[in-house]
Amino acid sequence: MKWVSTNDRQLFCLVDRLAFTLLCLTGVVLLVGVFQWQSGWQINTDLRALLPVDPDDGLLQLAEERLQQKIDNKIILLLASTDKKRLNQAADHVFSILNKQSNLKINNGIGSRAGLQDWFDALKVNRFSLLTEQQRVLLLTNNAAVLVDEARRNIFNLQSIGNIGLVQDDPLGLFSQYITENYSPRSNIRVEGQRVFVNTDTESDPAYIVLQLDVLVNVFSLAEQESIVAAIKNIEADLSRGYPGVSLYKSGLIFHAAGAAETAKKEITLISIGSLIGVISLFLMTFRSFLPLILSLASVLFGGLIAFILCHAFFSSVHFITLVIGVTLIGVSIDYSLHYFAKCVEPGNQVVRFRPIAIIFSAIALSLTTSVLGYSSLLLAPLPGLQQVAAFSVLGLIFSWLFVVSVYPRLSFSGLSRTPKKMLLFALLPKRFWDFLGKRQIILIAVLACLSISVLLIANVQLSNDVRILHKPDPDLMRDEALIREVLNSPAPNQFFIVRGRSVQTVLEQEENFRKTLDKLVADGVIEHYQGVSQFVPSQVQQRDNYDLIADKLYFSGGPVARFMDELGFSDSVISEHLRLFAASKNQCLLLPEKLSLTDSMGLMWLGKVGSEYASIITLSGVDDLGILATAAQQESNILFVDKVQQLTHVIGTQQRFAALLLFVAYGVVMLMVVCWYRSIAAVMLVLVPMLSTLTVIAILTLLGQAISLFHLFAFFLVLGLGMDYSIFIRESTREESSSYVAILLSAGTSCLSFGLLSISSTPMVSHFGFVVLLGCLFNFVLAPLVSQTLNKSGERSVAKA
Amino acid sequence: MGKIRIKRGVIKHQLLFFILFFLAATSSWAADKRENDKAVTEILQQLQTSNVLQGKFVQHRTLVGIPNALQSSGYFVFWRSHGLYWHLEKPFSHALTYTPDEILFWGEAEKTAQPGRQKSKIQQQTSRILLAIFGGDLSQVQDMFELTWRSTGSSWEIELQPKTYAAKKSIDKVLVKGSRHIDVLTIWAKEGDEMRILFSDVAAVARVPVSYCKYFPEPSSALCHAP
Repeated sequence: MKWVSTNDRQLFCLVDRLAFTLLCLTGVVLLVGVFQWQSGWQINTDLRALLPVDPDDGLLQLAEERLQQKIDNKIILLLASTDKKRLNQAADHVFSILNKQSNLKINNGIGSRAGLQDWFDALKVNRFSLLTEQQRVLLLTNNAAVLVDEARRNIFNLQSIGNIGLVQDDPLGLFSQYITENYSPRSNIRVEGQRVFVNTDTESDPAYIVLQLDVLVNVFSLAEQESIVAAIKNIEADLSRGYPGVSLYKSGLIFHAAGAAETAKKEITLISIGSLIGVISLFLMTFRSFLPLILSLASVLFGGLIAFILCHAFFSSVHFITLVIGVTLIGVSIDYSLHYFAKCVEPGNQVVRFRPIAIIFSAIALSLTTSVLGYSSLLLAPLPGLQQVAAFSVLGLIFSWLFVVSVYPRLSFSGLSRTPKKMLLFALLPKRFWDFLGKRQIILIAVLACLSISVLLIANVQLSNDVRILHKPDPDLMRDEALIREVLNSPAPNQFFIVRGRSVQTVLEQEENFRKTLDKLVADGVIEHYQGVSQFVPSQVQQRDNYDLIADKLYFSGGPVARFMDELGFSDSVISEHLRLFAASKNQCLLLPEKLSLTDSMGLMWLGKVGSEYASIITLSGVDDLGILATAAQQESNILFVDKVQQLTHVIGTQQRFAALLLFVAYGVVMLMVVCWYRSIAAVMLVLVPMLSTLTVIAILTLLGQAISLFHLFAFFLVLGLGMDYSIFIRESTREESSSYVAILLSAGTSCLSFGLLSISSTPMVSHFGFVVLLGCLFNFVLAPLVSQTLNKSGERSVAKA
Repeated sequence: MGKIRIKRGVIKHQLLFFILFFLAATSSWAADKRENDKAVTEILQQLQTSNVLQGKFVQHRTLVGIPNALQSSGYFVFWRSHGLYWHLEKPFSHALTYTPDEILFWGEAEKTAQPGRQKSKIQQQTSRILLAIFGGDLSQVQDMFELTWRSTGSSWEIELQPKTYAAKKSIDKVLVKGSRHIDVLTIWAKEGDEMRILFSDVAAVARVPVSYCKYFPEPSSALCHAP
């Protein structure tokens, strides 16, 4: 090893300073990592975390979060069999297993007997303030006689056996009717002991037993997911072995999260192994030594590790999508190492210690800057998941780059072999092709290609904001969930109304007011059914109004109730006592219990205090027309209609337009940068490589009938980064050197391997991303030599020499 | 030693006696059970043979707080798998049909046969219980009630104890007594009210009387046409 020049000495000082900086930064980051490690690593598998927070309505966001918390930690298991005896035996077995699970708790939503009894007692005490809507209408329209006639018929009818309480306590059966209408389950469930059954229409239909479980741990923790899913799988295996004919259906977010994590794990393994095998083969073929491979991987791993720790510290958790995309860093940050080693194997460079880094320093610095700028524009996208991916990529790239420029010059690579001739021939193939065509033909082809692509694009390009791009759920799980929803008559999971107000009573009043609109919608068949908290607990205003109405129309002296009781044969003392009880309850009001654990549905619908307001949810069943529901909500100031599917579609559509705009911005920024760097307008030609690649890929996608999705657009950012790398390295090749082409070939090869493998992912967004980058890399590789053909280098200032 | 032998012999005899007694008792219980099962099966078969039943009823409703029971009377037509038409004649006229899915209420203008409907889950369950009792198809109510059968000679009785929380809230127990058909149906409400229905002139008929067909769903069946 020997020193060469003053410039090299200055570079050495810079490299030294960078090494010191890297050492300090690494120390700090590792310290942060140790703290993080102690509190545990959090890998987020919740796909909703990729979506943005709606800045327009904090309450909506909080309400949705609260609702999610209530739903996320639930698992519903449905045991089904036509053999009821065996079904009960199977349920006993399942109960015994689940009772041993420390992370699950059986909670069938029926509350404790004592709690339910207390609640019914409270309802009974306040029965004179509770009326159904039909009863209210009859009283308001002076049709009390209809209620009395109905009560008279009811006394002699067989179905009065279903009435609650004594006739002397509820002579007209108003309270009994109120309970029947508002507290009867909509589904065919029946509670027997601590077990919930589903009644079936005929004997031949399968019988069902429902088990609702509370997940007592974080559903997004991979370890807990594995434990719970394994327990449920064991139950399934036990049932198929010991209880043939008994089926188990399951529903719950944890199964989706575990499925997504499992898929991601498999894909990460496949992509990592595939990339690794490809990269090892390419390195060994090129350098015939393990040292460049080990160092290149070390630089990538180092960048990845630091990026992981910093992202984890900043975002509190790292999303699995970030990790999947992060794996692709192998294909990008490895470029710096490749160029370094490609320079090392050139004659003369091996013995001059700082020559390789001196040659490539400016190129990899510019390459890093353009990539960082390109990826950084993703940070502007208000999609948390993509912001994390961008941060991860930028940090990984910077630290890998620092590793290359600080560590490599201190090592000796004198044992590396020269690039094999076949490899060189292959690397130079695109250049030879463009050389063969000559300048005029190139321009002609470029113009024709651009024109045809443009025509094709304008005529046929399609955009897609389909939400299914985010997640492709397991079809078996979807089938199970559909059956559970049908059997339990569950409300629509994605559409509901949020009612908000300054106090509990305001919310209940708003709800009661809005229910009039909803009743019309039910009558018109827009929805089949709805449920709100005010049906269980009317507002105080409504209760007082009910009481006054009853007092005015039914309970006055010698009024319909007294006459009816007399007609039935009740003694005067019993009638007087009943009227006294009514009078005594004048100022009583049923209040919303502080802890709504009595029934699951009531607890689910009441959101309580959310920020500075109170909120509740009105659930919907049998939704037919979303537009009418949205219009109904718009006419009320404190009612929000939430359609999560529409929301997601809207969010993706907005982000798509935003990403397209940012791509233009990124191209603009990169163009400006290269022009400033080279102080020449002609340097804009460097950007032509990724731009043409992008246009060609869009044309291919259009030809394949694929609509351009959000993740296709994000992949175009990477195509820009990679294309700029190739252009810059070719531009920075100061003579007819082949090492840059070899490095580009290796870079394109490794990138294609890693990104190409992403395109086989079962998650559409990852697959879209990988496919675009795979094609983009190929076109970048083929088009990159155009730079040397079209740029007149003599007129520009080479930064390497500066 | 001799005493011990005697004791052992006594113990052996006692043990043998106990085993024989146990076997006899078990076989007797088993025989009783078989007999009972046989009787139950026969009763069910007997109840299930009739597709159409008609008869009269007298209803006694005892309410807590009223010294005398409220009495009402009327007639009914039961048509298997279609429903139970229940016509109250006294103290006022009122008719309804319990079908497997809902209760149809026949108003004053009953000739037009335009029913008012109630289709809540509770009404549906009430309908099913009644239809199961009248039709002898008690497997339909086994999910909700614990059944106990007793039979002596040609008469029998079934006691239904509610199993589900909802049923327990309103019903204490149901007792059905009968011989060839149902004779008495008694329902004890949870808090003391009681309903007792005495049936008379119950007879199985080949077809639904034509004038009543309109009170049942799908009256186009062959059983609705005049012979």
